[in-house]
Amino acid sequence: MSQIPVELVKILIALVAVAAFVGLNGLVLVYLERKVAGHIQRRPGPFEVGPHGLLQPLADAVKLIGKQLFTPKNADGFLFWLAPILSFMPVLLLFLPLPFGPKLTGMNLNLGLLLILAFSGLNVLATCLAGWGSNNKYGILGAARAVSQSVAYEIPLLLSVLAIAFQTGSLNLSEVVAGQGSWPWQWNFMVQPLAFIIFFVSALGETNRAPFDLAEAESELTAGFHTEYSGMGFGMFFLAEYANMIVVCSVAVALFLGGWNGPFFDGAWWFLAKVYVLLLVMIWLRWTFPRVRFDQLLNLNWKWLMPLALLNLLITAFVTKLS
Amino acid sequence: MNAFPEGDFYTHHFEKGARENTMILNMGPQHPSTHGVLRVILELDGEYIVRAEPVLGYLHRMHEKMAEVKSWVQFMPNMGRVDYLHPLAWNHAWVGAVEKLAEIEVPERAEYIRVITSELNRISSHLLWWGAYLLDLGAFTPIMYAFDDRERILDLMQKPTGSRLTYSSFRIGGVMNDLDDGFLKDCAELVPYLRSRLPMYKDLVTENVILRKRIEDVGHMDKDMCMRYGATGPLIRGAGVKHDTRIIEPYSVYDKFDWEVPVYKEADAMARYMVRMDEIEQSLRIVEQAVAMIPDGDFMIKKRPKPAWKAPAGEAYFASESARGKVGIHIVSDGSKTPYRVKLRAPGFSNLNVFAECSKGTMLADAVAILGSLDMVIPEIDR
Amino acid sequence: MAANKKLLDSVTPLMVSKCSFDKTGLNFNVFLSPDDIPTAAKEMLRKEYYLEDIDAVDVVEGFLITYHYARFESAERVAHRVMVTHAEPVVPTISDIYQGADWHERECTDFHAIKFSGHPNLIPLLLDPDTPQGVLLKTDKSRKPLRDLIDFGESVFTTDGFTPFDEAQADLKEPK
Repeated sequence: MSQIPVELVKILIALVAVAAFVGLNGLVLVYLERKVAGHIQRRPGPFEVGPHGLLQPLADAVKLIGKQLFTPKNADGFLFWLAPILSFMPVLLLFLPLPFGPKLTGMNLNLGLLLILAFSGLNVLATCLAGWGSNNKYGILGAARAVSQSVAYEIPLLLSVLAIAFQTGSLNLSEVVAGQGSWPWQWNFMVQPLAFIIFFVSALGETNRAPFDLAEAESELTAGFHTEYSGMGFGMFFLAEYANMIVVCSVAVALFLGGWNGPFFDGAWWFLAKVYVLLLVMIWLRWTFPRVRFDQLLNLNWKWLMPLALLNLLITAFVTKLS
Repeated sequence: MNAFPEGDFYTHHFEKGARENTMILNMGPQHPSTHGVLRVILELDGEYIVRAEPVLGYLHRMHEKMAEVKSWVQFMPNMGRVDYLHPLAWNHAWVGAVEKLAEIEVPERAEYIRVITSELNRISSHLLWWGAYLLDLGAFTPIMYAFDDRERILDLMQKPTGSRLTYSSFRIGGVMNDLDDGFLKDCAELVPYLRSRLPMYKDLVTENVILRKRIEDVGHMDKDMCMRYGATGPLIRGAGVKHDTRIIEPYSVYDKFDWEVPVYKEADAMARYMVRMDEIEQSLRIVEQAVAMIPDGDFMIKKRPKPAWKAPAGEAYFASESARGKVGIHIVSDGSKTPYRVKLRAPGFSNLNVFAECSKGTMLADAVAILGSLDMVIPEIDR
Repeated sequence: MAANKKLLDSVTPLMVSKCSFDKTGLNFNVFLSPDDIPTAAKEMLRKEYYLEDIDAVDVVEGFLITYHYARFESAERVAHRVMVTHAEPVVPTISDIYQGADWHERECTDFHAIKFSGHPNLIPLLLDPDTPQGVLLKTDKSRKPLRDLIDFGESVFTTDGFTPFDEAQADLKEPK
C-alpha cells in the first residue's frame, strides 16, 4: 500500500466527488432551467414526472442514454466522438481547485486560477472538432463562430481576473476568498465592480449562453456545432455546458463575491447559494433577451470589454503599486 | 469545391452560377426559421450572403385547379387553407369577387360581421408573427405571451366561425352564423384587454436594445423595390407609402370607421415591425367601432346560393387586405356551375420575391431577420 | 389621362377599353401585341404602377395573358392583355423590368406551358421539376371561346381591324 502516494488517492477521491457533484448539479440545473423558463413564459414547466416534475431531469437523462449512438455518413468518426468527450473531461478538472469551503477544496493549488483558465480553453477545441468532424455545413459555421467568439472573450475574461490577482497578489483561489470578509461590502466586487461586470459578460460569451449563444443559434444554424449529435453525444455537450456554467459562476463567486464567506455562518452553503444566484441570472438572461448578431458580439468585445478591462487593469496596477 | 456531390435539381441549377471559394448552404425546407417548408439556397462567403434563391412548391396544392372542378360555393373551404393565419381576408376576397361577378348585394350586418371577424383574425395573425419573429431573433419568451393573447381571440372567434384556425365562415351573400349578443359583449371586453397588453409588449421587446440593433437598418426595401416586385402590405407601408387596400380601394364597410394607416419611412425591418405593432392597435379601433355600430338585420341574403348555383359569365377582380398585403382574386366565369379560371394573387408570393435581392451582402443572421420581417406563410406562397 | 385615349405613350395598343371598377375591379383593359409588352411595362414602371400578377386563361383562340397593374396610392387597376396561340405560346419576358415578374412568369410556365422569351431562369417554380408543364391546360372540349367569357367593356380606342375575339387566331379547327 505504501507505494501508492497519498496525493494520488486524494485526487482520485476528489475527482469522483467532482463527477458526482457535476452530475447532481447538472440534474438540478436542468430542472431549474426548465422550471424558471416555464415560469418566465407563464407556463408551469415540467409537471408530469414526479411531484412538480422533479424527476424530469432523470427521465431526460434516461432518454439521452437510451438513444442509439449514431454517426452520420460522411463524418470523421474519430473526431466526431472525440469532441463530446473532450468537451466534458476537462470540466471535471476545473472543479478541483475551486474552494467550496474553508477546508473543502479538491486540490489547494497555488496556481489554481491559472489551471482553470488554461483548461477551460480546451472547450473551444471540442466545439471546433465537433463542428468539423460532423461534416455538416451548419456545424462548420457554428464551430467557426465558436472559435472566434471564445478566443475573443477569453481576453477580457483574463484581464478582469488579472485585476483581482494584482490586487490580492495571489493566484490561489482559497487565498483570494480568505482575503475577503463576511459582509457584502467586504467583498471584492465592491472594490472592482467594473472587473466583475466584464467578467460576467465575458463568462456568458465563454459559455455560449444567450444572448451570446451564437455557436448553436438554432434559428440560424439549426443547432450549430452539435447539429449532428443525438443521444449521449449531445448529452455530453449539454452536461459540459452546465458544468461550465457552474465553473464560471463559482470562479466569479470566489473572486468577487466572497466565496464561502457570508453573514453569520461562513461555509459551503454560502458558496453554493451565491453560485445559484448567478446561475439564475444567467437563466433569466437567456429567456429574456434576443440573440445578438455575430459582428455585434465581436464589436462589443473588442470595442468595449477589452479597452475597459485594460483600463481597469492599469488602474488596479497603479493603485496597488501606490498603496 | 463541393464536398457533397448529392443535391437535387435546384441545387445543381444554383451551383452553376457559384463563385470560387464560396459555400452553398441549403436552408430548409426543414429549418427552424423558414416557418414551415420554405427552402432557400444560399451562396455564402464566410457568413456573408453572395446570392440567395428561394425554392418554392413544397406545400403546393394547386388551389387554382381545385377551383375549376369545385362549384362556386364548394370552393369556399379552400379559402380557409390558402393562408392559415389570416384566412378571413381570403374568404373576403373570394366572396367579394363572386359577389361582384353576380352583382349580389350583401346585407349590411353581414358586412359588419365580416369586418369584425376579419380584423380579430388580423390581430391574431400579427400576434403569431410577432412571437415567431422574436423566436427567429433568439428570444424564446415573447411567443408564449403572444400565444396567450392569441388564445383569447381564438376562443372568441370559434363561436361565430366554428373553427380556430382555418376559418371559412364567409358565404356568398353573407356569413355562416350571426353574431349573438354574448359575442359582442365578450368582444367589447377583449378589446381593452388586448390594448392593455400592448404597452407591455413595447417595454419587454420593442424597446430592447438588442432587438433594435438586430433589426434597425437591416433589409432595406424602398418604394422602388416594392414597386418592381409588387410587394404590398407592411412592406410598402414600412417604405413610407400609405397603401392599404382597405383605404385605397375601400371594400365592405371599412370606409365607415375612423382609423389610420400606420406608415413608417425607414424601410427597414424595424419599420415593418412597427407597422405591424401599430396595426394591432388600429384593428382594435376598427373592432371597437364595428361592435358599437353593428346594425340589426339579416346576416345572409334571402336567396342564398346552393352548391349547384351558377354564376353569370364574365370576369371580376377583387382585392382585400390581409395581414401580409394585397390579396387579389381574379375570376373568369363561363356561366356554369364551376369557375372557368381562378387566379389567386398571394401577397406573400410577391413579398418573398424581394428576399433574393434584399439579402445580398448581408450576414446569415440578417437573412433570418429579413425573412422573418416578410411575415411569410408558406401555404399562401405555394398555394 | 383622358386626353390620351391610347393610355400609353410609347406603344400603340391594339385596343383600349374602359370598364366599370365596381363591376369588374378594373379600370381599363389594354390589348397589346406580344412584342409591345416589355415597352409597355417600362412605361408602367415609369408611371409608378406595380405589377400585381400575371395570369393566363386558356380559351379556344389561344391563351389570354393578363398583366394586372395597380397603383399604390390610388384605386386604379389596368390590365394589359395579350393573346398568344396554342401552337406558339411565346411572350417576351418583363422580368428585367419588373423583377417580380420573374416568379409570376415561371408560374405561368408551370401551369400553362407558356414560354417567356429572354427569361433568365425559366425553371419550374411551384411544380416538381419532373412534372410535365401545363397542368392547368384545358382539353379541346372544355375550352370556351373568349367572347362567351369576358366582356372587355366599352372600347375607347381600337386599331383598325382588331377584335379581341380574333377568329383568325383560333387553332381549334386545325386538328380535325
